[in-house]
Amino acid sequence: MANTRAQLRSTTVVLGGMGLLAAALTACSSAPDKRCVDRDSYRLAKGYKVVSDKNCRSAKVSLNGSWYYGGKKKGSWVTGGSFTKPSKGSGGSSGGGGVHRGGFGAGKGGSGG
Amino acid sequence: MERRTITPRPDWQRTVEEQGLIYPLTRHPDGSLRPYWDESAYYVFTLDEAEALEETVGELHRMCLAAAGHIVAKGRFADLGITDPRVVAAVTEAWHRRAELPTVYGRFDLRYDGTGPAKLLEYNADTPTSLVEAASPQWFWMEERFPGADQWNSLHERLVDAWREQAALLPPGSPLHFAHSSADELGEDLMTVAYLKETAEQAGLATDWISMEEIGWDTLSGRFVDNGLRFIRAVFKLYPWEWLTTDAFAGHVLDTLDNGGGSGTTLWIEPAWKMLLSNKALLAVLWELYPGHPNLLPAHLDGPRELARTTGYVAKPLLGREGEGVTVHEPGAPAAVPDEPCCYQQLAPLPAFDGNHVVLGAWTVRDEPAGLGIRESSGLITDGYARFLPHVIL
Repeated sequence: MANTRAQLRSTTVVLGGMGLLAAALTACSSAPDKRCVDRDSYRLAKGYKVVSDKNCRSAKVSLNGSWYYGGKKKGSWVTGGSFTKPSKGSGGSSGGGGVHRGGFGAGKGGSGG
Repeated sequence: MERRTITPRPDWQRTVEEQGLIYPLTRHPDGSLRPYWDESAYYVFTLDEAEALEETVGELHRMCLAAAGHIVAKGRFADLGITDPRVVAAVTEAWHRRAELPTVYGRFDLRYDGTGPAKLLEYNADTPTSLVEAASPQWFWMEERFPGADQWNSLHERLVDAWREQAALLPPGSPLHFAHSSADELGEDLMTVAYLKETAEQAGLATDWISMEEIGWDTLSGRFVDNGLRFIRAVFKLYPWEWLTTDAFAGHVLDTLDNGGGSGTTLWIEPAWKMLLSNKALLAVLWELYPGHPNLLPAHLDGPRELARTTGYVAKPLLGREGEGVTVHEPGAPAAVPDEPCCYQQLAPLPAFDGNHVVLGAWTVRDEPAGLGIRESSGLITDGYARFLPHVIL
């Protein structure tokens, strides 16, 4: 007889595109349009200082490292990019004269718990 | 309940990264990197234990809903530190219209050692994390190491079902946005949101990304907009309501809040009433309503009372996360006055297995128990240096 007791587990788990995202975020060599920067290093003229990828890949480093997508690199500084991974259909924030951004999340850490 | 050691899979780090856990190592204060995903050991439960825990979690969730209803009915918002009348009104309306507002998930933290009843430590029902490791790498670990075995883990199926069953509550003709805070440098928030977005897509929903920081306010239309200047009609946010209601855009959130049935223009998931569950004052309200319940610890809001000399107590800031601000007070220790409102809960030291302090994270999806994730820590407070260990039912 087959075991008929109810299982407490999912029958299958399908990750779909999430696996690809995870792979992209942990790729050994950083993609050309993605750099790890020190979020606290911002200078008006230069942008953010590029730091070692390990500051973005591992948890709880002392330095405030974040992936920075796109932008222009000059020396060890990068500017004009975004902290959010660009996605299809999401352009820049230009063109909306009456649109304000940054009203959420200023100066806070991770949100989960 | 038993802890067993085992040799990790040779390529475990790459494996769990591919399964969404892109933060498998934790940087400790001494600079060393240690595994956050720790498969050098695992926990074994009997089916009876797992089923009893499942029943407990179902009951605790029902009790928490009753406590939330009590807070609303009696106007106990000040006990939770919620004093803004507009926020009180929004939470009250959200509670009354909760059948019209999609909810997804929550995580109970339980003290349990396999011998006595599980004790509720807290309920993270607004922005819980450690979801990805529980739902995905833990499941695949079991498939590889204990093929055919069981695990208390129907998270994935239940999440997909939750989106499918609540799809009709979402505003039509607009994608469901998934928002994380880009201030989280670990990638944990991003991957939690990415995973939830994936489950929504598997339920057939149209979705899109945004970060909280990028959400725009269009002054002409008086609407929140995404990076393509499209209106944000519905958004899952891994971002606590107490920040949503205090940030610079807080007034806009409340002005445009779709609190059920198209009553506004932006629907936020989890809904505002989840603030009632994720606030530590809930623990004291529960103890008031169910004094002596076997799955509760005594908890008070006005001070530790008798706990200061009998059992000792833990002072938990009402809105703390990841153990932040939690202080432990042994019985008879000199009185300490915290500088923010706290809930005072009986000290119930986490049980140690092979010297590791263990806390069970028991998941709910909508109103049903959905799975288990185990975290171990070196000290009594489960903080950002905790480790996640898989479990199996044998």
